[in-house]
Amino acid sequence: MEQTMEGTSYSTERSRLLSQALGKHAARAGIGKRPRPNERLIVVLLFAAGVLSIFTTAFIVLFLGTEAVSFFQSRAWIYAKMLVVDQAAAPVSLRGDAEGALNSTGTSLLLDLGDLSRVPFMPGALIQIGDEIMRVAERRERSVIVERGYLDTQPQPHPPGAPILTLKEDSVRTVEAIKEEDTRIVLPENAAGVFAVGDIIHLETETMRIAAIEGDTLVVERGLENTLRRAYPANAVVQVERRPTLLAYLTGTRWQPQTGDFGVLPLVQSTFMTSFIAILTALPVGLAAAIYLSEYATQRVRAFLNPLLEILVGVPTVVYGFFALQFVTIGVLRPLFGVDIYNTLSAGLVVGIMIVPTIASMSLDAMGSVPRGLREASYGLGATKLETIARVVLPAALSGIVAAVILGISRAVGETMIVAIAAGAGPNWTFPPNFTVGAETMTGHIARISGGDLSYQSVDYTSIFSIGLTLFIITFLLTQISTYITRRFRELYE
Amino acid sequence: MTQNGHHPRAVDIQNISVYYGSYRAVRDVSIPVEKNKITAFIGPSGCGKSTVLRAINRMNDLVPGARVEGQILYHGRNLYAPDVDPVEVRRRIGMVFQKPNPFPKSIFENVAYGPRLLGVRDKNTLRQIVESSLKQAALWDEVKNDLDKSGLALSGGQQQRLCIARTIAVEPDVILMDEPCSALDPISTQRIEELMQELVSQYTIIIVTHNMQQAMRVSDYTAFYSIRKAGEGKEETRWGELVEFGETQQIFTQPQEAETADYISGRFG
Amino acid sequence: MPHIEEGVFRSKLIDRQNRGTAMRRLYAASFGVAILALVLLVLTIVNEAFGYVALVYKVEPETISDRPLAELTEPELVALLVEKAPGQLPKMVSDALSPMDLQTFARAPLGQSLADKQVPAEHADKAPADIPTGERAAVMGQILSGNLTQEQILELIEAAILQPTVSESWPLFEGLFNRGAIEERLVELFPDEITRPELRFKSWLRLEMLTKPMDSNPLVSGVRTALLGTVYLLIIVVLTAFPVGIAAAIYLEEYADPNKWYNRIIETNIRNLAGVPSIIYGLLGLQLLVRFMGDPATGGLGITSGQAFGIIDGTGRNIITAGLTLALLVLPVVIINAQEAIRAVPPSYRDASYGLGATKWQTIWRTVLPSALPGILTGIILSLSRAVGETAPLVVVGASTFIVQDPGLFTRFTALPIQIYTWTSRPQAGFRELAAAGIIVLLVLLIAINTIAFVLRNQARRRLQV
Ligand SMILES: Nc1ncnc2c1ncn2[C@@H]1O[C@H](COP(=O)(O)OP(=O)(O)OP(=O)(O)O)[C@@H](O)[C@H]1O
Ligand SMILES: [Mg+2]
Repeated sequence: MEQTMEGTSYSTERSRLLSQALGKHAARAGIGKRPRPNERLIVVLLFAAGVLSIFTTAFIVLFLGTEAVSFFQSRAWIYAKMLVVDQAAAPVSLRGDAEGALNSTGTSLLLDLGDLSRVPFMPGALIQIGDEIMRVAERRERSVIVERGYLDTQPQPHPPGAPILTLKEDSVRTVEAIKEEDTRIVLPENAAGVFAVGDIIHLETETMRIAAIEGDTLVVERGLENTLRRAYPANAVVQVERRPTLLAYLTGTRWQPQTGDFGVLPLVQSTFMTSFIAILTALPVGLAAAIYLSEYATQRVRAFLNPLLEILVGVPTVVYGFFALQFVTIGVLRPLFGVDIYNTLSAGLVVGIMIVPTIASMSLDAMGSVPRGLREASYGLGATKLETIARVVLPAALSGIVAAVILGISRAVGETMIVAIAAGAGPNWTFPPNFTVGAETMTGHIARISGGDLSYQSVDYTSIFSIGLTLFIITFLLTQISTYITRRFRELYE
Repeated sequence: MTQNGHHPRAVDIQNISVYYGSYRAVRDVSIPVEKNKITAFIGPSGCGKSTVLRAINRMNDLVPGARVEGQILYHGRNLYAPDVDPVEVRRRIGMVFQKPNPFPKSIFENVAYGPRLLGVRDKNTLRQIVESSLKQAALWDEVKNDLDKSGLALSGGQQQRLCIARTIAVEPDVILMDEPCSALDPISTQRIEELMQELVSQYTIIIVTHNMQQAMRVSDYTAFYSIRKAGEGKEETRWGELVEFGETQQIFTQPQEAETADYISGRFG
Repeated sequence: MPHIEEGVFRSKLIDRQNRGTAMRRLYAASFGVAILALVLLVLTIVNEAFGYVALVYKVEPETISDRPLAELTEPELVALLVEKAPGQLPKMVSDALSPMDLQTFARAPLGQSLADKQVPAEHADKAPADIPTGERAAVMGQILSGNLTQEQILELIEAAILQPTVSESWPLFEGLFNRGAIEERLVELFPDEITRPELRFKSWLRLEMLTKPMDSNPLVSGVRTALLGTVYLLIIVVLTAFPVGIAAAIYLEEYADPNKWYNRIIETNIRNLAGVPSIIYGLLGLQLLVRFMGDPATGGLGITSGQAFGIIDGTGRNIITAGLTLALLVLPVVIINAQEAIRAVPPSYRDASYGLGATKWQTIWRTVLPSALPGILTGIILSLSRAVGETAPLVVVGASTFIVQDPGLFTRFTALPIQIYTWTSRPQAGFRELAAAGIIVLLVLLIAINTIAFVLRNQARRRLQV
């Protein structure tokens, strides 16, 4: 057969070409094992690339952990403060007429108008009448509103014309000079109350421990931690050590680690405030978008709307931050509601816009995996589309939607730039939460503090890692919960 | 039936069983595959034809958990001996699949893929190999002017011939074809069948087919497989077995087993 | 229908349908919200990037010339320059005409430093430093008038002599629709009519922004250094995260046995990393790359800060650490997307390749990867876009806020989003507007990246299909 002859020649020609190009040995070597070192090397490299991510996590956990530990070992030295009468303040007194008298429960101090104009009485200032200390709550036109019985003093009635002393905080200073071998530190009257036995104190750079308190005198162990025992003149400033404890960290409502306030709550609070607003914004919008895409939109409409969500994802957060500040705050909220220039409301609203796509796409997935049969059953019973969505699809997709919300919260909690720009530049604890004033979130705080050249040993440095750890734990738990719910949900329908 | 030793064997399947994990999909299959002949595998769906076929060029190695017991001799060597390189085996025992699966590359690149793997770099040599392969696969006249066109742009029948050209470009000994015509129209099927007839002078061909006529038309030998069952309810297990092997003529006219007769006359499964 | 009267049923049904339609509109409205937000976002940016300003001059134009400056001829303008700012002239010439920096320019013969420019023949072989101080300004003035237009010289005068600063600025729409109020405010601010500045339209987005470095005067500040920083960061991300990410994806999809505990850990871990807030990556970069691998002066290894390569004053707060931080950040996204793309490659391609005697790697390299390329590219677009806009980690690893010199690998650096952030938070007039202009540059860059990648992806896809 001619055909076959041709076939033979093709085959022989190819065999020839192959063995020519490759050498006889390569073309028809046996089927024995060939060493392939390159392939092995490649697998090792690929594996290494896969393992790299484990190191990323390991390092994140390691660094956040170790620095958080050193944060809790850090100490802040703060000046021990005592209240003294501000001698420089102008002398004032309660009004001389009968009305000026103050009973033990009244909160309104009537003063002579002249006195009122001379003394500022800022809210928060402490004043003393007789033995009682009061705190100024508010200054009115003709009077001063106070909180009575401050600092463990008893509210008492005060006669008209009683002198009002303005108090101020002053550093505790030693009264007498201290010699190298002394173990007693004499303090001004009432100052010893600031300290407790066991407190660690500093005179200049020398570390001491209070062994006992005898009246106005501290008995101390000196030269601790290998510090040098020295002599000090009178009037030396006493510093006292503050250390963060886990309890103080988790429950304190002031955050100012350099001066011994280690409460992370203000930061956590504002983080959750912005996230709360964000979810409040994003859930209805995102869910409605998902319902529309999943149940109503035609293919064409979908092809138009999906990119819209992608654009929302693609806008850099710093741009959203600009938008929050310039438009939402300055353009809308301030003219309408007179909010502060920095506020959690505006930041939260814009974070909400940012996470709409997250919520929408996850909810869409959830609704998409509700079996057709369920819907058809509902239609079959004569339900309208809306009724089917509300009574069948949404309940069936509920856990998927919950997972979306949780993941959305996690995104909002971790968002940095929007809150750094729009939410405020200082920790601020407000109770009840006030959305119209500025308050720094965890992320915003880290961004601001790390902005400068931090010394690696400073409290600031370790503190941002401890906040980072807190943030990491929160977002990690949220994502885990979300993943768990999603997986359970999938198992239900697949 | 062939007598041992009289005819040279390309591949000698001896008593193999194939496992997927702990599931023993095929049991104790022995087939002497004669050189430069076409051997057809027939049998009901799920009886393990593809499984045995893929065992011959060790494609089953790619399925996690798949394992072969017994031996398959090729040039006197057991393909499943520990010192055998499956990659080298597949170079010599090529495969054509049920659905035409050209690469998403040009026609030229599709055919040149194998030679390139072997290390042929010279453009001219590649061109010659591509041309001779396409000619031998009876596709050259149809595509010689657009070798740069994507292989996916061809019709199904052309794609399958392209896949055959691609396979013969590396000059294998044996070509395995797993239902190569099941996705094709009758005309394309006929062309492939003619092609097989031509190729068999150069290569040994093993073909899986569901089409009795096809087996009868093209093959010299036929292996008939069937499904066996044991146990009841949850305990039930199924596996494939070789029922009968012989010259096609004989299998279709005088089957030894009743089951074979039932199957080829359409009274079965 | 025995119990329900037909009429009641129907009216209930219509009710139900109406409610359905209303809700449907409500759902669709959610996209209205999204579109509205985007439109407002764009309008806000435009509104700030263009607007009106009241400029005050350090030296009033009237005090240096009787006639309006714009009417002066070129020689007259140059004469003004020579008279009022003789010391600055060499720098002007160097900046405007010569590719050299000022130091080199001063020592190089004019014929060489201004090779393709008009230079008076008698001075061509002299360097500016060789010309006697008394004559230098005049010669420089001569060169300026020979090479620049009247408008360009006017600009030089404005920058060097008049030195305008922004006294007040108003956004675009306010200037367009509320002009009266602005004029009133101007009168209030500058009761004296003689010194009252005129209200000028100002486009804060200028083409020179791209070539001008940062400046403390918002009128002339550019984004060159920031843009360069961003581009360098992208290059580092592309060079590191993409190969590693794709490699990891190949490992997980092609080689990893999912039943092995360590592969499961890798897989879960990557998914978890994708949810870690970006600022945490900043902390990772700060501690690992800046501190531990950085400056030996603070106990680091000196690798990322450059001491290992002979750089003396590196701090570790540089493009490299920032780029690597971003790379770690986008890595999970790259991996997850590449995995999906690889998974989507039909198994039949693999079979075909193996059937021809390809090894595993040959199959991956020659068949799987080319087929997965469009999908991988999509993931890469996503992660590049993310890297471009990412700000928080850069802040944490220590991007600088004010950089005038073009960044090198081991120098301090800044990036576009960082600039936008700092400008946004500066209270002085002009900086928020500058931030808006910076945002436009950033968005254009993003759109450019997306377009390029989109085209690449489609090309790759087309090559795969017919
Ligand atoms: N990858 C696999 N993993 C597990 N079991 C498999 C796998 N491939 C095939 N099997 C099982 O092995 C048995 C034989 O399958 P095989 O594909 O070889 O049958 P076949 O004869 O080719 O059928 P068909 O005619 O439908 O192609 C079947 O029970 C099948 O379920
Ligand atoms: Mg089969």
